[in-house]
Amino acid sequence: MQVVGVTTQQEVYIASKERKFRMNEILVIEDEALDCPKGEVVETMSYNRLIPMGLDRSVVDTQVIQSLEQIGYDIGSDEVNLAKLRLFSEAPYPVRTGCGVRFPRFDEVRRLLVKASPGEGMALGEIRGTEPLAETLDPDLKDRVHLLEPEGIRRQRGVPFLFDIQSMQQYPHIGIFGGSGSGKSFGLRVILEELMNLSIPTLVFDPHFEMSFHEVVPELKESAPPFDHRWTAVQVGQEVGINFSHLSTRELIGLIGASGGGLSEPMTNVIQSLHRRRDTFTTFSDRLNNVAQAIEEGMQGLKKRLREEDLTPTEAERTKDLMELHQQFGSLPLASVKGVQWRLNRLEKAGLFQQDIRRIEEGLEQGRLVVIQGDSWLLQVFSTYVITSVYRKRREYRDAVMNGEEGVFFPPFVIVTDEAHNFAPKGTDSPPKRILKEVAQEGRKYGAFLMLATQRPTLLDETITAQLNTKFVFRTVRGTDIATLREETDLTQEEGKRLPYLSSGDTFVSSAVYGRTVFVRIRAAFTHSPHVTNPFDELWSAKENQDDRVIQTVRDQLPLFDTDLMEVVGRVNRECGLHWDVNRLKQELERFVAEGKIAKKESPFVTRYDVTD
Amino acid sequence: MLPVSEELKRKLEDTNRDLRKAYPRDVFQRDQIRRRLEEIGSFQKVDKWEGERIKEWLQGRSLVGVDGSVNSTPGSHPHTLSVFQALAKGTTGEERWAADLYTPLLDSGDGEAEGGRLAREAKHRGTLLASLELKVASEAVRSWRPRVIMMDGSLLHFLIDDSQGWTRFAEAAEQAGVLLVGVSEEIGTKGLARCLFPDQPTYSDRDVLFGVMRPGEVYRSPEMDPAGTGLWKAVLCSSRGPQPVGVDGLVSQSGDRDALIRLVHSLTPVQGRGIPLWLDIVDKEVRVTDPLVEAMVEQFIDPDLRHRLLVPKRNDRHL
Repeated sequence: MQVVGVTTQQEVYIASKERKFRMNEILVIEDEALDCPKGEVVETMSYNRLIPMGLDRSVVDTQVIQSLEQIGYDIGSDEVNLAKLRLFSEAPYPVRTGCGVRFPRFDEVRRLLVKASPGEGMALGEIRGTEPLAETLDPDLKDRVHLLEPEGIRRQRGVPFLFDIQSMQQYPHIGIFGGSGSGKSFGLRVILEELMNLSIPTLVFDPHFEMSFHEVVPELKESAPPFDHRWTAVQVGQEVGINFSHLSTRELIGLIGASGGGLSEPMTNVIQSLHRRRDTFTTFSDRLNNVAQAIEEGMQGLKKRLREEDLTPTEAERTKDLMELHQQFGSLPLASVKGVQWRLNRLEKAGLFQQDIRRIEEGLEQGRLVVIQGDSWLLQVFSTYVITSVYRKRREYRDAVMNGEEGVFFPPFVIVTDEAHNFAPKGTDSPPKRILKEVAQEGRKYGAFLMLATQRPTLLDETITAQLNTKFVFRTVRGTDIATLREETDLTQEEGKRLPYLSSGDTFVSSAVYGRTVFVRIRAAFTHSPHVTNPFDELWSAKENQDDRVIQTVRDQLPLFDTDLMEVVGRVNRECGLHWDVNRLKQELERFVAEGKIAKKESPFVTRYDVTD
Repeated sequence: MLPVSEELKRKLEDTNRDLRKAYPRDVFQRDQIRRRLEEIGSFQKVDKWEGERIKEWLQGRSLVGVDGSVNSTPGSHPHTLSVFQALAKGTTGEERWAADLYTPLLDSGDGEAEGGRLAREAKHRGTLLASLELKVASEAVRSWRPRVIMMDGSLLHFLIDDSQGWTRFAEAAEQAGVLLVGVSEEIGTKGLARCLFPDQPTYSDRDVLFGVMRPGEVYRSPEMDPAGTGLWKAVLCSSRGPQPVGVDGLVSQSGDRDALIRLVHSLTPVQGRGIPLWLDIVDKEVRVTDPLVEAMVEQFIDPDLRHRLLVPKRNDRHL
């Protein structure tokens, strides 16, 4: 390997006859005067001067080439391999052409590749192109990860990619981008596994109900650490909810607004007028309902009712209360009161006010990963509340410490969400956007970190995108997203061009920690998502199951005449839990006949189903 | 429109007319020439061998191509430096290189007239290159004993340029049972033209044979064999181009003549210039290119000497 052609201070070309270059390989240029600079292969080419390309040259006969091959000439030996090498740091003057080039020993490049000690870092994958370093790799870095390839799981061959969790103090937020099928959710899972491994308190908002860590991949059973007590899954409206009496009026306004298409000014006014401190859900919603009723009936109506003769004392009392409410709030527009009522009921129906977030806070205090599941809209509402609450707790503690007081400890934590563009969209407003922005801008101070994954970086709020100091970029096909990513990261043009062609699980890690882009293959996750069955497989297997059971039931009664079907259908329905009528049973029997599962004999008078011969 | 002077145009037109007079269309009639050539020799069709057959014929030995190259710095005499290189390359990966240098600055041809000296220089360079090629070829015979050595250029020119070396080499090859064949892209003989047009001394075989042969044809005539040299010669049209190539070999090995011609034909791309691909490969590797000469001179000759002796003023042109 040798430096050839015109060199610059940043880039050189390297040629080799023997060896094909690999992308992202690290090489050392033996230019003593420049103290042997190192660089990374960013472009590779091979050509054979005997098989030129071009419209102006004739193509050599394949027959002649074959003849030469037959008599021992290896045409491949005339191949020349070329690579463009980008230096890690600019040289003071251009590299000398003709210098030898060699592979580095691991100790020469450890500083560039490994930024964390193996025990403290998150082992997220393998750095691509580091296979030649395997031999000199330090023992503590060997066998840290397994990789998933199309052929199956393989052992680590290069240098593991260790993400330094400590560096998040300085560079707190992480973005994970990639189209569907790019390995983004998979990468997120690996990161979460590592967070659990390090017992870092984490909040995960999971609209897809996919973040479960029960099912361990069989091949990795032995190396998988136990996750059982490291995580908790809770569902909004079941295990967790919002303690209504803790809500301030401002929070309540935000919450009700989040439940459906924002609030009008008069609606906000309604809530401001009606909400009292320490209101429970019941007291607030009763008041709201009463005001609605009072306005609906009107002062005249209420007075008339009071004059009715058969009024019980309780009813009289209630009517007087309503009149009082009318006096107080009669000026509120009825439509707005109803609007608030409708929105509040929606939240109530989702079970949001049944529980509190105690379980979540406990989970964080225990250093667990807390997965919060729920429908997308509900999660948006709930996340706003949860993040605000826990962030406040953390902030209060830190502020207290800063002021020399003794606060109640609340741990630092990481907030993780997929489909982040729904939580903090660019341009439009969404309930959690304000708090996410606050965490993005100030979280570092308090030890609150963001990990946001999305397929559409272009749709994510720009202030937040700008704060994501580390970005994992998986395969991305959309031109606008590639442009956004190139703007927001130090991806080069060549790397940008590679984005649509990355294999699933390969990612560019653009990080302020490394000061450059590292190409990484994400490791095989120890666990897998519960949604791994293909829906079509599921369809076929369900059908087969049902068929088997029906045939089992019917077979006992063969031979069967079409006049018996009435009786049989009852039994089939009973035993297989179906709701068929005779017609349906007949259709299905015909299908079994067509599939050869039972036989059918027809005579002029009767049709008979029987076992196949 | 290129700015060409009227005078130049007129002169070119005159030259064209004169050439037409000297080489009239009706004289170079394909069928007529073929008929007359058949009277003194014969056309034959040559088939291509499959790779398998070639391998069989080579008897497990290799095919070696030999070529040389010379290039000089761009100065005027005697301020030049010539770089010579020769390569014998076998199809199974063997390679033998030889190189030499020559500069008239260190050659004291005292008192000679300038004209004679230039001619001597040219001849000297030819001899140097031929001996260098013969040297690598001889080593190839000695070390690898290939089945065939294919030389770039006719064998005759080795005989002319370095007759002693040639004789030694030919004998060694004969003894070792190594077949020799030379392939030349330009046919320099005049034997056929003399026979066909005895009263036209300027006609050469090349002019006569142009466009006469069909692809895959070989022409042989005793009139072509250079007498007293121990060589046979044939003309082969191995590609689609109208200009055939010359093939020659040792009379003592003429038993394998047809096979050698066939081998040359088999290894020549149909669309190429008629030279076996193997020789093109060797040629490409051995070629001393301008940048190579320049780089080497820059690397190894001290700057003051380089500028005093070798760098011509015309290099400083910038228009």
